[in-house]
Amino acid sequence: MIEIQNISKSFDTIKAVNHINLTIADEAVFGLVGTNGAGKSTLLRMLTGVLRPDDGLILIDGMPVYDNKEAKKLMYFIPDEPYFFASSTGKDLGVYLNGVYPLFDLDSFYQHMKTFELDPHRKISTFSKGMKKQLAIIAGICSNTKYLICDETFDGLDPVMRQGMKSIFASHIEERGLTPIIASHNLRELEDICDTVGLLHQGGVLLSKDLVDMKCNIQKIQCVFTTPQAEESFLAQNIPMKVEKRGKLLTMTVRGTKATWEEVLHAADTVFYEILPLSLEEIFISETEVVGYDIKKLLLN
Amino acid sequence: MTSKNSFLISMKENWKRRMWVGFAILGIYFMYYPISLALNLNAMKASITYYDTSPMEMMQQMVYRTMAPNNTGAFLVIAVAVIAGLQGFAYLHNRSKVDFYHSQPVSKGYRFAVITVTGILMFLVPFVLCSLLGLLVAIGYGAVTPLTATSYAESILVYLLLYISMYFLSMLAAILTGHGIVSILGIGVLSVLEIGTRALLYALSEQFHHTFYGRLQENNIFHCILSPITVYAELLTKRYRMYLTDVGVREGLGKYVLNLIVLSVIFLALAWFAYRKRPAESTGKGIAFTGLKSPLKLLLSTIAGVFGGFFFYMISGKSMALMLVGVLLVTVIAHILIEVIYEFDLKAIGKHWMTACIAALLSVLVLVAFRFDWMGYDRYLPKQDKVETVSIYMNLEPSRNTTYYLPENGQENSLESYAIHNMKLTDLDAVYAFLEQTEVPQEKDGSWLDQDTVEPRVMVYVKWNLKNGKTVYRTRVIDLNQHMDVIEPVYAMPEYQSTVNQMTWQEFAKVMHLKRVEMDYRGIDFPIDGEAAVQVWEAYRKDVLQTPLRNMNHSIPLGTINFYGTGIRNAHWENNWNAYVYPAYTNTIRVLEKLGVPLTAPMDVQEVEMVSIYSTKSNISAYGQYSISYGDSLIYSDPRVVKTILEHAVPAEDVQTWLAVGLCEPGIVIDIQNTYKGYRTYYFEKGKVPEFVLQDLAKASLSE
Repeated sequence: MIEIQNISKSFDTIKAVNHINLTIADEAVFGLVGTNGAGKSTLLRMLTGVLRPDDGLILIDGMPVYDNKEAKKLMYFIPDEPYFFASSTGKDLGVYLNGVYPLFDLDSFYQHMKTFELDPHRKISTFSKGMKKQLAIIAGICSNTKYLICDETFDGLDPVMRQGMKSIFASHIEERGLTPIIASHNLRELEDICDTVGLLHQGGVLLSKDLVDMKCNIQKIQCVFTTPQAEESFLAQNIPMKVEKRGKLLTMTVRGTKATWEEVLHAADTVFYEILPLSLEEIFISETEVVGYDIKKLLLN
Repeated sequence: MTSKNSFLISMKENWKRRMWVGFAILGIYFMYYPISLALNLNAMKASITYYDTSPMEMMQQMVYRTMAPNNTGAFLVIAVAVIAGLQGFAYLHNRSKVDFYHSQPVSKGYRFAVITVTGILMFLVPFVLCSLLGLLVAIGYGAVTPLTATSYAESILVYLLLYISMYFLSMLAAILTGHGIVSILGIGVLSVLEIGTRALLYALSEQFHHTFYGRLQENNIFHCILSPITVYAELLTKRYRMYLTDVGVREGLGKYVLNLIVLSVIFLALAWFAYRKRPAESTGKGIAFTGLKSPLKLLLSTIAGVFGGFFFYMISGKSMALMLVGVLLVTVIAHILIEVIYEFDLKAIGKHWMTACIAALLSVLVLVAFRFDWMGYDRYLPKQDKVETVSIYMNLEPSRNTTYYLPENGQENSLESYAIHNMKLTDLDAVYAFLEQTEVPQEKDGSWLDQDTVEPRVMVYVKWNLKNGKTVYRTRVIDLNQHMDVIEPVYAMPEYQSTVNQMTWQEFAKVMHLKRVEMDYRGIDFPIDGEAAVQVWEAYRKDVLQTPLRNMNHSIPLGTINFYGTGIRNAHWENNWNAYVYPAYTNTIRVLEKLGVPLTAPMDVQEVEMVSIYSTKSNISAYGQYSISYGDSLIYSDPRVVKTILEHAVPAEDVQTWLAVGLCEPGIVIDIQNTYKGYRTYYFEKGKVPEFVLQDLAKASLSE
């Protein structure tokens, strides 16, 4: 488990990370979402022991991470711009990482390169941006560390490759309890892979929740009441998070499980009702609006 | 199972990243040692003999020059050390690389050690390999002497230490900074900061402290200990002297070796400390440690400001107002440069002006403190009860050659230096009676006499050995005529005589085996060899020890004796000293007269081709009825006239002694062209200018 306790980090006068508290559970995919400059990369660089926090503490399985070799053995960092040695090949990289990470699986590394049609003898400098990202992910996976920390890693991958990478993630999560931590400014990138999502804004965490919980506990309802009085009475008894009305059609975002609302709506005097699933983006819009933020302004997509 | 993280594997991986530097070093040394030696030796083997040096001797000298520590070798070592040091830690200047390396499960200490050791081996292996190949080539040509072999071994040690110290210094610069260009500037600053500061303080002391005594070697600005480059430069100078003698090659080098070792340890410790503490986010910044920025800027801006102020003060004819302008101008320039280098942004010029203002203020304070002697430097004389011994050197004969070379190690020395270091005057009452009459030198005072000098104000160099172990050096001045009563007791002290005059040194034989003597009498040389030379020497020594100073004062020397002795073999020079024969030196005069030197006869008129006389003054009214001003030369060639002139002409060199000040006519110069020495300058003895000369000069002045 990764525990982030009240950490802060400033660069000159800019407060990049501001008193963040976060807990990342094992064997689940944690998504870190936020706009450019929200502090994602800084947080990840502190998480991997590259940067020293000004305040606070980061514990990796109970061990402080900064300048701690044992804690770093548990994680592999794929930065937004991965570095590869000049004039080196994929094979060179594998050999190097094999000497650095105690559990690095060189055979698996070559196997994955073959699967993704990456020539291990070709110079990495001749790879496309997407191929370099694939190579970085393969290296991360094959390091067999408990935590894999990815900064904007899936940006630049085509959908097929992305799916392929995600399936490798899934198998490693299942086989050896890998815990990926993925930062992105794109909610849709994370929607189909993350178990938990944390939203960063201006160096702080706006919210951090389990995605299934969020999806199960927030519903979008579209309904038409028989009379305006019935509608009024319903809204008086069940205060929604958000309400929109177009003609007689009422669209509401509400907290609670689908079953609970089935019961409520069934009992209500409606002509028609429908309970719809929310996209991750819609959930975030609703959640952040509740705490006073307009997420459309926070997130680009 | 093999150890995945072993040190050797890590070094191998580090080597892969840096091998271009390694191969560059290999290429450089391969060209420098075996290739260039083979080409040069091959060319020399077939060359003709020059002068008295055979081709083999030339080849041996060339091999020696290449294999022993030298300037070219040092330049190569410093260049590769800087490149290797910067390249080893250049990854710290790139965010992607920092993320890559610092997120790995490798401790900082381990990574630091891997990079450091790889960098040392990267130099050591190609250097030793190529130099050994070079030595084999030289052996193949039979051009290796025992001196070359031992010097080669020495060069391995010295170059390795120079490399390591410069490599660590470059590492430190790379770690302290966040950008390659700033790292290079940092290496420059760390290398020259000490010598630059010392040179500046030396110049300030020399200009503003009238009693400053900076002539001695230990006060020399180049005696620096904080930069490998300056330490090596001094070592090389020392080695050169040793080479000249062929003996004692290793003597005295230990301190330089130790200095380089200590510097290496300090730079390594600082680099390691900085590496551990370096914030990863400093990538791309000028200085990695924010806390260092202001102190460093303050230091550099203050030094620059002091330099600027001093420079303007000197070129403006010592104007305080322009000194202030210089301080402000140079501080502003320094501020702009430093801020732009720190931030890599021209907009940074507008920041941190407070530091620049403080630097300007400090610069002004330093300059004003020197200018008005706030520290009381010139007023300071150690109290007698705090003093153990005193050394005094009175520069009575400024034209005398006081430099000599020690045959055992080629070390250059001077009589002044010998006296100051070896004299231990303990009769402090007499010494302080003397010192109390000395004064702070004024601008008119100087080490040298000229024709216009009328007061015998002799420069006095003093070293106090204090009871607390410290030493104090000062330059003072004393009037020979007014204070002979306090000068004479000091001059007569056995400790004074035994150190200030080489004739009395016990170890004189070591320094100089007398070969011959030349008596220069009124411009004519009389060579004296063999036993006669020894007789002259012994008589002269007796006179030096026995003659009171007051007996020598107010007398024109009869001539100069040049003593020639053993020299420094490989330099093709010999030690020689010149010394005046005062009329009071009766023993010497007696011996010389016995040897046929005509000490009382004037120069033979037959040996003179022409005499020209001219005035150097614009208005001389000191000749009674004659008014003489600057005029054309008077030419005399009539033997009778010339004979009259020669009777009272004294060679200018013979009156370069404070004991003869005021005994010649100022303003009238005689140029005598003789048959074998060409022109030589003479003066008339005081009051003995022939009447016809004064008349002719007056006429010449009127016609002007």
